[in-house]
Amino acid sequence: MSFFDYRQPPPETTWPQQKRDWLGPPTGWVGGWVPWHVVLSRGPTHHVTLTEVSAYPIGVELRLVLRAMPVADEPSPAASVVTELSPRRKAGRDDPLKTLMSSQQSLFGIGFPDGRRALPQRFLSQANIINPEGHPMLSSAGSGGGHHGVTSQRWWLWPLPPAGPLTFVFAWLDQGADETSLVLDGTELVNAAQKAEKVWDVSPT
Amino acid sequence: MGFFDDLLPPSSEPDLTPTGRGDWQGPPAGWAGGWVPWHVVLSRGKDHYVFLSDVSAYPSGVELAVVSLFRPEEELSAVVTPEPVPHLPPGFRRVTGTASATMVRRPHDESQFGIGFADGRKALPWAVERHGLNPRDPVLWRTGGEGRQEMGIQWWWLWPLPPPGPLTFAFSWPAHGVDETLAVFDAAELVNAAEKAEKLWEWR
Repeated sequence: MSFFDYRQPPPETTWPQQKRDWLGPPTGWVGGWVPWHVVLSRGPTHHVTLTEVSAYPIGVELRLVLRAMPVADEPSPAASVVTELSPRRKAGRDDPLKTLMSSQQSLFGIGFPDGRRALPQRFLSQANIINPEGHPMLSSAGSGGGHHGVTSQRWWLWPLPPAGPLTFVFAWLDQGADETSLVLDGTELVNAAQKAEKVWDVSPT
Repeated sequence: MGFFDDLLPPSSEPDLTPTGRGDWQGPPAGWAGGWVPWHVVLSRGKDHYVFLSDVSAYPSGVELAVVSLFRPEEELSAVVTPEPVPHLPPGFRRVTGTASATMVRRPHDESQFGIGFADGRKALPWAVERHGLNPRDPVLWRTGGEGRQEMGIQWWWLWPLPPPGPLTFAFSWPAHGVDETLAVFDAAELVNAAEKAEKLWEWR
C-alpha cells in the first residue's frame, strides 16, 4: 500500500484539541532550530531538499526546496506546486505557474513512529480539517521563489511527533519521481521543541 | 564608528548600461548550494526578533535568509512611537533590510542590513544610484520574500563569495531604537561550503 493511500480510514486515536494549533506556529514564539538539511528526492530533472526545521511544543515548521530542470520553451515546473498555494496568482511569460502541473502530482507526507500519518489538508476531509482530532496534519505555511527553476514550500506539521523514527515521504509524479522515503530521528524534534522560546505575549484573538 | 556611518554616495556616476542577469543578481540557475549550518540571532528586543538562517554557498556568492518577527501591530501601538526617518546622505537610498506586512504598513520603519568582508569591503542592499547595473562593489540583492502575520522572511544573495576571514553581519533599526548590532562569522566556512555546491543540470 502506498504511503499516500489516504482513502484508508484514519486511526481511532484522539488528540487533545487546541484551537488553531494545527494551522501554524504559535504567535509570539521562536522555534527551536533543528540542523537538518537533507535531500528527499533527486533525479535527472529534479532535486528536493528538506531544510529549515524548527520545533515548537505543539508542532514543527519545515521547508521543502524544489528544483526542476526547465523544459524548453516552458517555465520550470519547480514552482508549479505554488499553484496550489497561490492559485490566484497570474501567470506571466516567465512565470512557472504557467506550468499547470496538477497539484496532485507532488506528494509529501510524514509518518509518525506510532503509525499515524501527517498529510496535507487536501488529502483530508473537510471535517478533519476543521476538527483534526488525532489526525496529524501538514498545513501550508507559505511559499517563495518560483523563478530560475527553484521554489520552496513551508509546511507546518501538527502535532509535535513523538520521539522515534520519523519517515519523510515524497513523490513528484510529473518528474518521474516515484515515492521515496527518508527516516530521521524525531527525538531531535522533541529535544529542539524544548528550546523553543516565547518571546512576547500576544493578546488572544 | 558604526558600520553604516561611512556610507556616502558614490563619487562617480553609476554604470547604468543594461546587461543580462549577472552573477550579482542571484544564485546560478541549475545549481544547489553547499549548506552552511548558521542560525544566529542578529537582533532582538521587546518588539522584534531577527535572525539569520538558511545559508547556502555557491562559487559566485552566498544565499541567506533574514527572518524577522514582530509583535503584532496592536501590541506595538502601545509601545512604539513612530519617528521620522533620519536624513540620509544625498544620493544614497536606504533600502529596507527586513520586511513584513507590519513594516509595509509603517513605511518609515526601515532597518539596515549589511555585511563586512575581511578585506574591508562592505556589501549593502543593491540600489541603482549606488551600484548601477554593473556593480563592482559587493552587493546584497534581494531574491525574494514571504511573510505571515507577525513574521517576514527576506532572502538575500551576497555577491561575490567573500574571502576567508572574519565576516561581519551588521543590523540596525533606528526607527525602533535598535542600535547597531554586529555578528562575526568565519567566512572560511562559506568558502568550504561553496566547494560542495553542485551543478545539477545545464540551464537552458
